[in-house]
Amino acid sequence: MSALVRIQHVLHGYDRGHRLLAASVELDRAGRQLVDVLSDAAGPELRHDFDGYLTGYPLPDGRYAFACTWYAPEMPRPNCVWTHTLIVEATALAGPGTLAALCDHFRRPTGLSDLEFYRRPTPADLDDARVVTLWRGAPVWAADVLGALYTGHPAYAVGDRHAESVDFVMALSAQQWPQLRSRFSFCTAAQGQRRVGDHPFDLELLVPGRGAWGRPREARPSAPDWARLLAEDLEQPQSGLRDLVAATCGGADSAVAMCLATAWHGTGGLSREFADLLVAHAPSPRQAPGFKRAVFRPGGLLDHGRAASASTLVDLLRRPDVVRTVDPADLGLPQRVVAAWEQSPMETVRLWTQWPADERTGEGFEALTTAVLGNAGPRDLADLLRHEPELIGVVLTTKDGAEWCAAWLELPDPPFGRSVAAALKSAARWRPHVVGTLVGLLPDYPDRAARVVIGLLNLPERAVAASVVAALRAAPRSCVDTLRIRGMIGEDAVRRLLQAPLDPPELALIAELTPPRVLGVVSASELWLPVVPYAWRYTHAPVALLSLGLRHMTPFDDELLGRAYAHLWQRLRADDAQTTWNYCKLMVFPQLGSKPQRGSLTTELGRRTGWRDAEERTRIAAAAETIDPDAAQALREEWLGIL
Amino acid sequence: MSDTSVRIALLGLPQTGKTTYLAAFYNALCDPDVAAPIKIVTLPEQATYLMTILRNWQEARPTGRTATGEQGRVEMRLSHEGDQFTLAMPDMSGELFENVLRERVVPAAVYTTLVEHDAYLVFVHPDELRDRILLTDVAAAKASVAAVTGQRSGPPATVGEEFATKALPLQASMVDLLQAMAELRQGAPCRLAVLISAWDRVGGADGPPDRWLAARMPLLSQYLANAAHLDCAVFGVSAQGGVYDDSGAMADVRPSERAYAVSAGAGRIDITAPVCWAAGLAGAAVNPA
Repeated sequence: MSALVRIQHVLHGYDRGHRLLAASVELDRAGRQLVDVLSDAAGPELRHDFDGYLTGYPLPDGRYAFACTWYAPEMPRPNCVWTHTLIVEATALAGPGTLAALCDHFRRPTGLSDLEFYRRPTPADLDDARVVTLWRGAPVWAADVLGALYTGHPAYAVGDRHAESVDFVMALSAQQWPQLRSRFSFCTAAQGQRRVGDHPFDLELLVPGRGAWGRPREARPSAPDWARLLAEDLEQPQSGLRDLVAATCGGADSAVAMCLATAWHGTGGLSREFADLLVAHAPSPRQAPGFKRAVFRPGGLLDHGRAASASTLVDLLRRPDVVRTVDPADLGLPQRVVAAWEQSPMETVRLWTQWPADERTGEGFEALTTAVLGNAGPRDLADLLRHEPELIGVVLTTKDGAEWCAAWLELPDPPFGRSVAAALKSAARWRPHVVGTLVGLLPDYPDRAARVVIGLLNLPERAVAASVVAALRAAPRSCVDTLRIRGMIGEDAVRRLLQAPLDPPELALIAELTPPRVLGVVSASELWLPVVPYAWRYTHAPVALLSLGLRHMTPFDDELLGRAYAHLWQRLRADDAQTTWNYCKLMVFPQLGSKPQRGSLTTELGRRTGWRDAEERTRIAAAAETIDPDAAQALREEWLGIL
Repeated sequence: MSDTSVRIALLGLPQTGKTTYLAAFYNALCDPDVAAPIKIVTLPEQATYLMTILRNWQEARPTGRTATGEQGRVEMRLSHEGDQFTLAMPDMSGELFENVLRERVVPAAVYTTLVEHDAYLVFVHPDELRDRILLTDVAAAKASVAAVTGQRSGPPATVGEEFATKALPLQASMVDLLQAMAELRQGAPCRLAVLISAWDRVGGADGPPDRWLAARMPLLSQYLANAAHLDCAVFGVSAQGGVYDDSGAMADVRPSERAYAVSAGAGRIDITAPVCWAAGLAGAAVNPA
């Protein structure tokens, strides 16, 4: 490929100071200052065997300056030079051989009167596709220099033979992708650190014996494999590597992309060496984004150009440190996970379950979770949870509908119960509506659902138990009945619940669900001290419970409260706890006197507790008479109707 | 003198003798035959640059110009009457100062040189005066022509000549640079020695250095005389000791006898005298401008 390039010329030399002598183009101030400095001698003493050394660097305006510097012994002072700088657009360096081709356009002036050539630009048909190789062999320091150059460090080496240095730079330039070539700064005969603005040159090949800059850098056997491969490629271009670089590396990529591309080419994929290089030298997604995109995008090099597969996903997810180096949008994890699911659901699920516990907050795991939960059916997940009960927490946060909860209830209870409890310990994952769903399933799954709900009630987290109570209150009566029959609320749970800010109907519910013996045990605790005289704790605890409820009762709670009271009464009667029952009335009925809804409550209590016992009926009616004659009359009428 | 650090900057346009003076100065520090009041105690850590210019100087070869992108690092430990001090005296390319005149922008390196030093050696060279024709000369020439030819018009005026710093009179350039320095230093006082290079060729025809300066560079001389913030002295220096020619005769002269300085008050003195004066060392020979 050839390209017509417009070459601008700038000539510097000595005329009572090193200065611009002629130019075909006017540079801006920043460019002019840079060229003024870099066109001067590269050190205090020129070496004739390095005459015609080359310097390349980008200009502030984006163009590229490529210069040849000759010693000027004809000048009156030592260390004077001629420097012919060619200035081309960055796009002119697209071809691998452009820099070498530009060398043909350098022209050394013969004197201060020989300046006309430099005042007009030259159109040039560059042979930019010319093959540039190190036919004399790579210098011994080549791999070492490449290793530094492409891992973000300025590279230095002593070039004993200038021709060798020039060949090396030309071959190196041919390896690079166009944008990197147009940013590449180098000098083939440096004697000190040269800079483009604040940045040191990328590569300086030093004149031997120049002090601290002249220490030979020997080829180290420890030069990385990728750098050795790159050095070999300078001698014998491997089209595969150069094609890879050309296809994957782009304008936004820093030099480190060359290191990565070579390692990828050398190791053939997401090898450990490649991954380690990636993490070490390009840890930020902003580094070498073009190359990373080419590799990691779905259907990219990692997938061998085909659709994303489960195996590549597995490769990726095994290296979360690698995943973090790539822009999530480029990585396409959601796409990859979907593709993996379509190809092998069970492998994807297995991958999900095997994910390290301490890495489960990352994006990879989130994508995997979304895919698994989004694609797996209840039975799939139930099977999964059967084997991986610790994942129930993750599942419950998203799969909390009735269909899903029913599936969970089909799981073997012990692991499921434990897992739910463990999952719900975390407030962040607590979902009250899950409890509502589970409570709603009580009639259909009386045994399992009851065990789960009671298990939740027995959890030490008070908020969980409170939400269970709230759910029960809102649930149909059949749910409560099921739980009452099947469940066994524990002593500690009751104690905790009674310390919670529950409303009266909720207290009533607790009373209904609490076995009398448990209530007795609870009453023996100091919890009831303010409410019940010490000697009566055992028997009077239910009354105290009910009393608490009555203090906060609303008109709409009559039915529920009455139901709880009746339940207590039945229990106490069954236990022959007549004294307790009497105490109930003693404690409760006077309180009713201050309540506007006492009539209906009295009716409710009477209906539920006393209609089978005539003596009791009489006592209740008498008591009711003292409180509300109308209610007592209504109660008698109702009893007559019933009896 | 207590154990202190002295920073002295060398200012001057290209080809005014800064590097040659530095080489001769370094030789005087190291050469036991030179009766200089200061001697070197510790060699600089990075002596490559100094060794390069010293070798050229000792072999009576031009020291070579300092490249634009290069800054000769000179920092050494010296002793004076038993006290030690550190002298930092970087050598910058004259082109950098010239670029300031042309671009009207002070790069960071030049800014550091102009501002962050305790004293300054300003180099001027008789060969670089770049004197231009004065208006008074033109009037006198016109009058002469008219007297001879009877015509009133003189030669056509030069128009459209492109501005070039290399054509500016040296004294105008130096005053401009010193004004810039004064502004950047916000009038902070300092010592400033003017060194007239190649004094061996000037030969004292115009008298001692201060009178030479007043006669040949009146603008600079008057500026210095009226710059209240500057404590000035004028030296003539012959850093090479004479002209280098193809015969190599200068190389046969003992290095300790080649370089010297001259001041009005003290006559011929050793080449380190300007630095000693700028550093404020006791007993330094001076002649205030």
